[in-house]
Amino acid sequence: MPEIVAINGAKPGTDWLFAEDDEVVAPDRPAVFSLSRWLEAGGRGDAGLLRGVRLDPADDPALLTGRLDGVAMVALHFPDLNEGRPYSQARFLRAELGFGGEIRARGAVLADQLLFMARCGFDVFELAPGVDRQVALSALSAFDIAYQPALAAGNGDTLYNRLRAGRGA
Amino acid sequence: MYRYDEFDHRLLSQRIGQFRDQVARRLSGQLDEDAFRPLRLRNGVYLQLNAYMLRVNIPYGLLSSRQLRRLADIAERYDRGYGHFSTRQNIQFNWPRLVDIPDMLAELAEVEMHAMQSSGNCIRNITADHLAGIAADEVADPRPYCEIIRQWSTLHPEFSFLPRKFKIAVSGAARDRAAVHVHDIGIRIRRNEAGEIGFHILVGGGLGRTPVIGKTLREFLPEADLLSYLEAVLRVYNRYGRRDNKYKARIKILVNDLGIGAFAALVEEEWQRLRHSALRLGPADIERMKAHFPRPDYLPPVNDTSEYEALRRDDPAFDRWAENAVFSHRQPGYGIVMVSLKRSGRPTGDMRADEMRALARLAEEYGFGEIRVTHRQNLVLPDVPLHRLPSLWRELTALDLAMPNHGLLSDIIACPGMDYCALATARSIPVAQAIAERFDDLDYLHDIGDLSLNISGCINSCAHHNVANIGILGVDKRGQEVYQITLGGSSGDDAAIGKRIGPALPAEDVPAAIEGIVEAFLAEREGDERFIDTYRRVGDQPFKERVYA
Ligand code: SF4
Repeated sequence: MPEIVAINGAKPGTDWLFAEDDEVVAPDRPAVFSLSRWLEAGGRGDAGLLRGVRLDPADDPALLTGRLDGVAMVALHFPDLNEGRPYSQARFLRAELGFGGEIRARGAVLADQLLFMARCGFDVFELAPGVDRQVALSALSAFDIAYQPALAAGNGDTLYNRLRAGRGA
Repeated sequence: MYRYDEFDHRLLSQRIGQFRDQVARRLSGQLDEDAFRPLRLRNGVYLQLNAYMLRVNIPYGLLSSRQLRRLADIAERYDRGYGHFSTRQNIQFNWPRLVDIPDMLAELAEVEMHAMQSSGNCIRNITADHLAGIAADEVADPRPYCEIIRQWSTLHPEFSFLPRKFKIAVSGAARDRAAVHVHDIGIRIRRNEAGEIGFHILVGGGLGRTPVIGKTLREFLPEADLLSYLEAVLRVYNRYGRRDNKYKARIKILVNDLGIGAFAALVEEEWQRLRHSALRLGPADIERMKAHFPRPDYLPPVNDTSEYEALRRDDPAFDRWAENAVFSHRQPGYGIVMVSLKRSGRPTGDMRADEMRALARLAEEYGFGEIRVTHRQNLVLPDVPLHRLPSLWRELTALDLAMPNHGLLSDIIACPGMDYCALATARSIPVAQAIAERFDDLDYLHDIGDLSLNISGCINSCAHHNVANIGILGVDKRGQEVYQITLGGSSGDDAAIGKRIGPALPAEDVPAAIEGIVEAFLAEREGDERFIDTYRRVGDQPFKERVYA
């Protein structure tokens, strides 16, 4: 089991199966499917079952428009630490699709990217092997302000006041 | 000049704390070089041939005398007593120790300077016209917009791991002095018929191995939409820019592959979603930022300019300097003074700590304590009363800072090249020096007139050789450093990419080749034509004939 860090009250306790596309999955098993398998199967979960969808960096999150019913978690994959697309995917899921479930970072998830991920809407992090949990937690609190409204703009009549009233982090 | 408030200081000090911790983890071995590399780059730290290099931002080219003094202190305390001004309004220190860099950054932060995002695959330092706020041809001062963009782009959570580096330049004048055509995004401030401010947005310009002139993405973007629109462009680039090949990862390749129309449609779709988000700028946002850049308290012009006039009449050296290095200011009674960092026997763009302090003093005595940095690696004293030009000239002359070669052949841009840069395939500084030595006759230089000559030590083209009238590119050919020559490039409003004229030459033949090119020009020139105009009229044949005779 990878070391998992969760923020903003996310509860990543579930023992998810990250299912291969040809893998048979018991109906009551919490499972995460690839985007193509999820869409092929109709893009709907059955009531009461825990379902997740995983996206590769090149996947278009807009394909999940109207297809997030019954999705408890979306997993976004970082093949290496220079990968930047999942940040845009996460913001799209939160800001455009209004997704309120868990957004999980997997792959090359190192301590020093976590804060950027968090500000884009990720709330669960599967730390890469060897990353120290304490280091990860302290990296998450390196900043308590930011220059962008990101997901947490405060109120105010000007961008300046919105930023200074909100907590970017 | 923009003054930090508590928020800015807090953010920067948290950033330095974070980097201090990262450096400590690197030094203790907790972080390996692969994991540390993107972190140090985003704090301006490169690993060069012999040492680390720290690149510090000079946002939109604006420095206070206090900041310049601090750069001098840092050069002495942590480096070898000098700094190197780059072509993108940065200063580089070539010899710091990694363990000292967090302290250097803390000392910079005290004077409201930083190195955030001066390298790495993120949005780099925002550059601007070095004559912002003082040029006679200005539509609007670009600096408030640059600062708005600087803040938005700083530690942007979504755009900190772009496919490749991303450079933005802003020009607010009729004439482009910020090279907006060769940036990933170039912004020109415009006024519409109703008198409203807006932005002409260019995208996909850039140099490197595939030089491209930027294309118009939007003719007139309303002022309020600046950030939401940039966010849309960056999101499209972040999602669709190539990541499989670093030589094809710049936005220019994406724009070319998709075509400007399809690219613009993607941006438009994204922008419609973002346009009314929290990023929308209100008039109060813009007014607040403009208030940071007030017009200085200019004095009425002094009518007694007899010393100035007498000296121009009697001293040809002063006359030449006044002609070449002093530009007209929009404020009557004031001039703009170019300070050349192209001195014979000195690497281009280099400045010693004692010179920095001396110039900081002159900026206070002859102006409002401000210095500008140009993308041609020179400095500017922006607000000099005309009647004080003679004494300023004497002081600059004593400091070897009164070289009247602005815009002339010896005003060479040269990248650090093999002497410092780990990526170099050839030397550039010694070649620049050899050319400058051959063209050290000021009369001859002035006869030749306007001519840009840039030298890059590898295809990364940091010296922008492909938009110079004469471009020189050092390459490695079977272990030998040889130099390709291009002609006809231009980086201004008539931006153009230079064309290679033939096989590369060994270093020792380059000065003679340049001499041949200049002789061909003088033979073909009609009247007072500029080099670039003659070239455009006659083509490259006469030049080839001289170089490869
Ligand atoms: S052009 Fe090449 S050699 Fe010159 S500074 Fe850039 S990377 Fe280094």
